Amino acid sequence: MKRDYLHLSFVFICLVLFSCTSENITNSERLNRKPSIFPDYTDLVLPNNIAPLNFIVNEPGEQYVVTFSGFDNSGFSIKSRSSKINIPQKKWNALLNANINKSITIKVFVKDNNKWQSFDEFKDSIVNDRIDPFFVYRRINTGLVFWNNISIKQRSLENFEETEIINNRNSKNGCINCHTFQNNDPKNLMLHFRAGPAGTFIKTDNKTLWLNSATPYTLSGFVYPSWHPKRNLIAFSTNKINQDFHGYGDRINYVRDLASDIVLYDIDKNKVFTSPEIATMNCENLPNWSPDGKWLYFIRCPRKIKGASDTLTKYDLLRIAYDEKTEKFGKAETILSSSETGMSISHPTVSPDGKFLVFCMADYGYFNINNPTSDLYLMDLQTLKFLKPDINSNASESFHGWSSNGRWLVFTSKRIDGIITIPFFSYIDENGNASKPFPLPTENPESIKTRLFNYNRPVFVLAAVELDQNDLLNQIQQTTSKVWFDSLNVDLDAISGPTIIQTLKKEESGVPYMDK
Amino acid sequence: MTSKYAPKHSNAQYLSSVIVYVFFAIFIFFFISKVVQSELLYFKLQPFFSTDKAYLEFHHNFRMGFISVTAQYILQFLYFPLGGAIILTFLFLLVSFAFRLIFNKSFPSILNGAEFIPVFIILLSLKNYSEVINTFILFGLSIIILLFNHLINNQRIYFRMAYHLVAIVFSFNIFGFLASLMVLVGLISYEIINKKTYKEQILLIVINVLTLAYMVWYIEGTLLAKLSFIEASASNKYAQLPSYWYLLSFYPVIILFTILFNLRVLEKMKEKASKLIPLHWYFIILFIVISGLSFKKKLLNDNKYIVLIDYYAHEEKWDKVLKLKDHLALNDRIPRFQINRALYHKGIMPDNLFSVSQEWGENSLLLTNNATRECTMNSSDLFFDMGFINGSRYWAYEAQTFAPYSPRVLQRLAITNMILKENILAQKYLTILYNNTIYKSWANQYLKLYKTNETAEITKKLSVYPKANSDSITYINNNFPARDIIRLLKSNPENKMAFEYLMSYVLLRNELNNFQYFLLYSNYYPNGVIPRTYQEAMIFFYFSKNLNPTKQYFKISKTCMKQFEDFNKILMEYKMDKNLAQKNLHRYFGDTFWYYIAFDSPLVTNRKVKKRKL
Repeated sequence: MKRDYLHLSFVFICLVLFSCTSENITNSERLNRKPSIFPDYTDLVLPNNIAPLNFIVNEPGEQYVVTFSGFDNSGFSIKSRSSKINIPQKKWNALLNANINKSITIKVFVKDNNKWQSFDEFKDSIVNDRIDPFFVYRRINTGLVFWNNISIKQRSLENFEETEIINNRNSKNGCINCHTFQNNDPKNLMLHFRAGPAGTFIKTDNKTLWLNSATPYTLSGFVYPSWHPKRNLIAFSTNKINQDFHGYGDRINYVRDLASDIVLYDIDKNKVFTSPEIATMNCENLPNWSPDGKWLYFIRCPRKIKGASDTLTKYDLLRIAYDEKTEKFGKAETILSSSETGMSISHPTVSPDGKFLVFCMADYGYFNINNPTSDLYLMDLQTLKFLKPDINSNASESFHGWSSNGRWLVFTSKRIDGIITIPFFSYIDENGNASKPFPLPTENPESIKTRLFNYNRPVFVLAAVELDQNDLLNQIQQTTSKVWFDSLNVDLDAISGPTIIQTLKKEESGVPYMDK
Repeated sequence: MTSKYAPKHSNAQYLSSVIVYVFFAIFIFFFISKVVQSELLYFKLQPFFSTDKAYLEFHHNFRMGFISVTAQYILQFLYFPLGGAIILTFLFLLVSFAFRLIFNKSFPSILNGAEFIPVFIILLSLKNYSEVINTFILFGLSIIILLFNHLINNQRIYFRMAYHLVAIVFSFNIFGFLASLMVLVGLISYEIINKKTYKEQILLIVINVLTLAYMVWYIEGTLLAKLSFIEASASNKYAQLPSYWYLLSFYPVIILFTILFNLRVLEKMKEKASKLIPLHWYFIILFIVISGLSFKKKLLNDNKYIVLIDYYAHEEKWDKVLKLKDHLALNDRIPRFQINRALYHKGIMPDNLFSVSQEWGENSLLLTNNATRECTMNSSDLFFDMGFINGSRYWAYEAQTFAPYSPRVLQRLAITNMILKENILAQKYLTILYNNTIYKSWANQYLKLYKTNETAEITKKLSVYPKANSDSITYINNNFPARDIIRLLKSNPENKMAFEYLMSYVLLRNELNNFQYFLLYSNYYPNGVIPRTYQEAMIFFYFSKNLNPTKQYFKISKTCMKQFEDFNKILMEYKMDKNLAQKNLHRYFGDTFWYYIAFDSPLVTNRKVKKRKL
């Protein structure tokens, strides 16, 4: 009650102040609804270090007043002739920090036809769990075959600053992909380069590697990575990838694997090894380590039968125990089957506290970025029960990652326009409850709507990546060093399974011409 | 300060200068409007300026971003042919005048009229249809830097040195390596010309060169950092502008001229020469000669025709496209593709498919196989015409990878999404176009309707565009595009364009079984009377299957029968040696299917489209 009183008095003071400037909003007409704003920043859970949530008031008017107030009557107001509400950074930070574990209240007034209207206020809760200050993403176009001007960028979440880590214009326009960090630490970084200088770049505290990861024993060079949380060890998939293009309005393309395995790369020993359990005749893919490094989660589906519909390609979720001392794997166990869900499972990601696993499910396949049926699910790893949190939309939700404290989830969604992936953030509490997601705060909120480039693969990092672009570029023009595949310690079945590339006949890799 | 060698101008000299400038302006205007055609520059470069934050952020990523955005702003007015020619003429005059100013101050002994040399160089580069406005801006800024250097000419060496450092670092950071190199050369040459002491000259040269070398080494993130100081193109971090090369070659020319004309002997020769014929007459004669030569087609770069044929196709001027069919410069895959489109749109494809060169086979009918950047928007155009709206949109997205803010691409994306009723996406592209001066009203006509939710009115407005054929297309087959066309036909057998393209596709691949199959199941020729090219294919098919052509459903005309006999007769005359018979066969049957499969088909010539590297 006291809180309400304080808030009302703050709003009143603001209104009086604006009244003094010949505007009379104290007598505004009250509309019993919340204002329409873009992006929808109502009823959120926010970290206290998030950048200002600038927004557009989608209500017709000539003048706008927005008041921001906290629990203790702290706050500020913004007056604007434009419907774009730009929040001052310092005032915003002060407001959030003063209201940790409480909420802030936002009230919108609009002057239309010389008459002020007021909307129902809305509240956002502020929690004491900070969000990692940066995320790294790949900026790519919407085209699927060609690429141009790809860059790996880092964006601050505490303000609107964005810097470029590497641009492919400097690497002969080759493709750059799959940036990965160990435990969100910007010092330990992995990047793939393709079709320019080609190879895998790995940088740790004391080592920089530029690798040719293809071996005679593996299907391909390294593809989808997951860095072991405690060791210099990265699990990679190796894939024979094939791509088709849908002409449907709601889907653009479909990426399928003709074959895939999982291998491990030991950075210190420059050694690649695998196990018959994760490199079978089936397709193993998208590895992800548990935070203790004792389990490797991955997905698996049977090899596609020639002529069978792609819609039958459904992946199961598995995990396998790993002993880092002996470098031995246990037996793979299915923890969620596609036959049980009727859907294809992909992108498993375990939370840093090891309690939850977030994954995607879609009607088929694993490359979900262009599949609108793809949604996010949350599994309790103790009970192995899963639920569909209320953070999904009708568009594709796909790549996701956890903040280092395990409380914030970032995921990409195409819900804004159906074609551009935008990062959304949601708070996951100790019980696995997800808060309403909000899109990346931007200086000009309208730019989310008119953006032509994707925020691909957003990954939280604990600090800015301090990688000298010159050093990186000089490194990748050197000759790649070869990795060593440890074939002696691997059962024959593993390396004679899907890794025999010759078994992939030519006709399997394409669609036959003209069926009459 | 003015050099002791600065010429003293009389009224007559000013008058002659005005005359030269007038002639110069007239020449440039006609050269741009008639020879270069500024609308072609617009079409090729697709400039777009917007105040949209996302657009500005995109350009902010480039070191040349500021120049690029300014250039885009000016270039967009080339949309209007007359306005474009006037703008460019004005800029050319401005640059010439600025050069005159700097020559008078910095290089006083240089021959009057040398200020036109850089402009002539840029004019010639225009014919490559590459970026040009950036060059003007670069010129302008370099001139300002040099003029300021002239003002501080009498200052102490340390002050000048500091200014040189700032100028090089500034131009390097804002405009890139080549700009700073130009500035460096300009500053050094100024020091030489103005006869500073050797000690000062050497000090400044060393400092300037070291500064630039350091900037290149430290700031420029290139793959070949060590080489980038020597090799200008190594600084490919940001958009490279080919016309810089012309500028780069210009500064050494200035220095050479200056040194030459600093010699007393040449100075005297110059004085004598100017007494014989007033100087401006040299330039008037030069303009007239160059103008005369420029208007001759021979001088025109082949690039123009490649842009021109695309432009005509875009404007749906199919007659003009067909007029260019025999131009030697247009033997590449994409001009041939445009000619095939013109054949269809003029309704003569089934009869005249082989009346034009089909050396690329099916690869100049459809561009999706091993597509390059240039294929993307053209494929979008073709599928749009065919009613394959999803395919058109898909290729427009691919085109957008290379030119995110190309108005042509944005417009296509807006229209295809409107047709496909992807309203949020349509409004996205319309909003971007709305922020542009040229497309504001076009975009607004739809945006207004979206705001008031008048979807019926939008559909009505879209009726000027092809209708979406069907939603039944499941895949876009880049490598097997015929499969998409078959699907189009399955969902709408009345799609004439899809049918004719399918028939042409199988003919060009010499797949006569498929050809006969599709012909049989089509509804287009109920009486069995088929076009000339189809008859040529069918008679060949019948004979290959030992069937009597006269007793088949599809009628073969007597003329066609006779021609086929004659074709074989000639072959027989040369004892079936087709190489010997080629000349004669080409003379009489060069426009037939038979000649194509014997001599022109890629199946025979093994002509292949270069594979795209992934």
